[in-house]
Amino acid sequence: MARFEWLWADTRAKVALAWLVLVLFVAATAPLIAPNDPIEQNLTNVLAEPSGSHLLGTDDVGRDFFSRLLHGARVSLFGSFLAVTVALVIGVPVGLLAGYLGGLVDNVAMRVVDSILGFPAIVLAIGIVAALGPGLRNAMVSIGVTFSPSVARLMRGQVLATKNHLYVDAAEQFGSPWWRTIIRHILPNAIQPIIVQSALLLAVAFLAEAALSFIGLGAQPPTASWGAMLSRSAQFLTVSPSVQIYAPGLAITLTVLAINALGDSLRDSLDPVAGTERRTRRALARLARTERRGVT
Amino acid sequence: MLRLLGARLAAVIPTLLFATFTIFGLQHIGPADPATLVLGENATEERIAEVREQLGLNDPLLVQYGKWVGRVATGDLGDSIIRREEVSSIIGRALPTTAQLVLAGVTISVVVGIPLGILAATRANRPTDVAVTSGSAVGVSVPNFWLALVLITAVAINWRLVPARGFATLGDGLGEAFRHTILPAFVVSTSGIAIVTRQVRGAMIEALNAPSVRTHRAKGLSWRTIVWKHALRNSAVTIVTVVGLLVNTTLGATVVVESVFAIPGMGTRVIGAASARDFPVIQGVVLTYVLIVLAINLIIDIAYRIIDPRIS
Repeated sequence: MARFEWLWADTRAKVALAWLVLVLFVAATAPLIAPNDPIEQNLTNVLAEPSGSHLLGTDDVGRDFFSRLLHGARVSLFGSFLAVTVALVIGVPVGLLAGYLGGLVDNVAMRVVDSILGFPAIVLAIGIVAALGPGLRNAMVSIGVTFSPSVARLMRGQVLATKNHLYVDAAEQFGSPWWRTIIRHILPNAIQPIIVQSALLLAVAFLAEAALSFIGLGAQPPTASWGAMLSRSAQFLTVSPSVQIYAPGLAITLTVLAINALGDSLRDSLDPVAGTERRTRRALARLARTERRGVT
Repeated sequence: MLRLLGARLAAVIPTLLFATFTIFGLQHIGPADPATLVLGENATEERIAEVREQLGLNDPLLVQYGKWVGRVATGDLGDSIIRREEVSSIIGRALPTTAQLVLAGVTISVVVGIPLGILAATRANRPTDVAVTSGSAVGVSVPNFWLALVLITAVAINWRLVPARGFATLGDGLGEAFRHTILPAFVVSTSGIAIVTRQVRGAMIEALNAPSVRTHRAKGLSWRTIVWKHALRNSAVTIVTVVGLLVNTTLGATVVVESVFAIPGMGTRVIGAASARDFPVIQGVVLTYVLIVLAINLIIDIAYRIIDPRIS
């Protein structure tokens, strides 16, 4: 059994990291390594099957699908990082202030957080995009806004757990102004769960980017994003080469899977207590099993 | 119980106020004038004035909000700008479709997820568990609209088992409704299945490690009774929480999946309205979603107290 635990705990993170490094590399070097221009059309060669000159064939206006896939990595990654950044920029200060100041500020902030959490995120994001106008940047800012309450709530909880420590008291007694106490003493000791949460939000943001681009509110033509490419393939579902339906979806799935796996590993490694608990629980479960087998 | 219900309802009011203010504010956060947004840059002065009047844009913001809430409270959500139809009647047609899809999706998530979670928990860290846990990791990572495309290609186009597009509600006959619902419902349930499996697994592992389980074994209860009766019952609070969460997740999933299957539900409406900047429709749909989620949360809150009398 120990074999499986090792495989599950360790190799998973390594494989995930390898895939993400590959995606990041592709995103960074897409213009250099892509065999063709991702937006150059060729109307005499549309919906071509994969061949030597077009590894994944061509789309409905004759653009090289493989090159678009490579460039799509750029767009999708940029979009999801943007969304998480927005979520952190709004959520962290709100959570810090609500937790540290308490009272009315806390009350109002948490009411607002609760009401935004009452919206299904994608629906609220669609509403905000409708107001701001479609486009990758607006779409991902909207996603970031809908994510920010969960960051704020987590941050507030962390601050509440941290602010009663003796060192915070000491800093205040020594005349540290409130903003300095927050930045120097509370934030560094409360930030770890936020880092883990950001990793997990990145995965959700990646899916959201794909979804919004798929329905036409995210990346606009001719920009290649994995979601937008799927949207084109979907319109030509019965005539486009089937690899064009599988490739972008598989790329999204693997990337999200990898981000999630790394986020989980990160959580385990940053939280030694949870890790120990899990190990203890596993040992107990094992024990219970052996007992059970011994009895029956 | 009644007093509890009253207290909970009172607690919902601030949430509802802020949520409605957000929904109302949607059309005002953009850079452009809502009336111009709706009509495009080339609209005539009179037409803009007319729409400004129709949208009530000439009043101060808070007055507009007050009027809007007043109208909405009586069920008047205004008229769609594009379709020249009352928003409430658009929602009235779309809601049963989405509700059927969400109910089917939540049911599949629960019916598949709970046994899988129990299976994984009773075989924790063995190959079966690793397989189930990996499966649920994939379940939350697959973009549902892509899964929809793949399944439409395979099940509907190649094998011709079910229709690829469109929808039928229960009113169109049970068989027809089933044929149209099963595939999209499965697609919207994938992340739900994964979430339920994961949560039930965690809760069951904890419940199975409780000292009471040892006592049950000592007094000679069969393993099956312990798992399905005692441990499962002790995981009930987790399961109820997850089901509440599921409604929200599944509602979100239907939005994009509906458009892939060309299902005329709330999701398709809100996407169409967003592209056309038809704010009354967007506001109506979003408000309906929020009310559903709030209602579910309320029910969950009360369910907790019925399941576990220690919670007060």
